[in-house]
Amino acid sequence: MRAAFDGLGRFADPWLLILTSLADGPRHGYAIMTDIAAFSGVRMEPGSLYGALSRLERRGWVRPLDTAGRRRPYQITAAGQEILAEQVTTMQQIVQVARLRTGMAWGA
Amino acid sequence: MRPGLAERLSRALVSWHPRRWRDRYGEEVLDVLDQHQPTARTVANLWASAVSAQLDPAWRTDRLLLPRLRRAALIAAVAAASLAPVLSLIGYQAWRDDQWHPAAGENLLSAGFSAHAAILVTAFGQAIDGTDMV
Repeated sequence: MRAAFDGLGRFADPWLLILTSLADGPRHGYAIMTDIAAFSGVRMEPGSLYGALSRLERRGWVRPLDTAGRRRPYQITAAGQEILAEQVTTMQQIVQVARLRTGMAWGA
Repeated sequence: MRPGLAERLSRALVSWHPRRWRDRYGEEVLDVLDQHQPTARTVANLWASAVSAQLDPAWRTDRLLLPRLRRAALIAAVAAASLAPVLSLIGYQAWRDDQWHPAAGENLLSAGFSAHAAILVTAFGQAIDGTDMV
């Protein structure tokens, strides 16, 4: 699974943000954009959002649900949850080492 | 960039994406643009998306792909047909000069193809498999 994530290259960040946004339930495109802006401060544009969504769909990490008007919600899949959990674990390890090496206290 | 211009350009750029991409995501992106305030950044982002989608084989339509494949096959066939007599002639000359010895029973056509290896031998001093031939 790690090898699959390594292949994302420069798209890793949008994918991670989208998977994080969908982790607590399905959202449509604009709701994903506003949610990402709220929790990360990243203002994702529509071109980047749908480029990343199409790749996530192809990898089977998200799936589209039935449309509600022109809006189509997306849902994270079990494989998407697995890759997100793995990535978060890796990030936690990096943060832990960074805190130890810089002398930062937990919760600071 | 003025907001009105950015919005018009953004909507135009959605139509620059491949037809299959528009069929799948076009309405959704237009819906997002209805709620989003497009800026110059939005325009640049959609332009990059359109270029990326046009280059992505997954979004190319058969209508665009098949003529390209047919044209490539035709060019390859014409090139092969043009080279065949030349290679045969080179092979025949090589055979006559006794630079190599075709196996008994080989005809001129096979000599032509075999001569290709002979030319490589002459150029590099060894056969393709690395054995010294000179």
